[in-house]
Amino acid sequence: MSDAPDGDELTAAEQRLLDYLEALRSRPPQADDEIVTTVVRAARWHALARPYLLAAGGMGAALVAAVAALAGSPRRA
Amino acid sequence: MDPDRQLVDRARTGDLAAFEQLVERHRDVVYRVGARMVGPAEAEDVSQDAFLRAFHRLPSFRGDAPFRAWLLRITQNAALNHQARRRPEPTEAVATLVEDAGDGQERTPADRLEERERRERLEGKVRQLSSTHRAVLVLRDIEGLSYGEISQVTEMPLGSVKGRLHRARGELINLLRANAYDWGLPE
Repeated sequence: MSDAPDGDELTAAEQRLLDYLEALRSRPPQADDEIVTTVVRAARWHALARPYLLAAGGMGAALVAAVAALAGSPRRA
Repeated sequence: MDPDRQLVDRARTGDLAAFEQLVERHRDVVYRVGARMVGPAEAEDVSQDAFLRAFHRLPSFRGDAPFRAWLLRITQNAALNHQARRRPEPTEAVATLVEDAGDGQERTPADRLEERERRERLEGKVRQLSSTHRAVLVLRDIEGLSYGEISQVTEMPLGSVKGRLHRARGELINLLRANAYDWGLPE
């Protein structure tokens, strides 16, 4: 993964720190297999709902614009 | 050439099977970065959030950077949002651990317990880093990304990445030195 060495000399403390961090790298947290299923199921639902949400959002925006136009229109004496 | 390009193009047209392959391909690195940034308890939420954000933003993905770098940028932001919404982690108790048992000896359960506690303490300290420092340190020193890829993830110039990494290591060293547990970091 790494393609570039550290440009500067490391201090002794930095080198020790990297040794500690290497221990973290060697024991990575593991993702649950379920995560793919969960994400794809949610994405499928979002994809299905998106047109309706966009339509509802459009209607809401039109309603707000209409109310704003009415509220902003000059009153008759 | 971005190895994900074909899948991304298909996913952009609504091909969920292609999106599923992208999730399968990148779930481990997304989960790991999430876990390093916010802790294992919230890593799954962060991962799901990141993938769904990516799904919604696919139409705006221009391909200036590889998909993986773009996805990790979204992951980083999702992690920071999660962290901003929750309470800070409790500060750790005073260390009661024993020192090294010595080289060449068979590792006892106590040694393994100490190693595990040391790892967990270190993970906690990484999560205490400022958000900008944490991201570059996790990506470089734990995930082993190249400076070039980190530059793409963080949208910072290469020189800034190196400078920030140097400061991140300094911040972590200071956090460890201020810890009751003796990390044996030379001056």
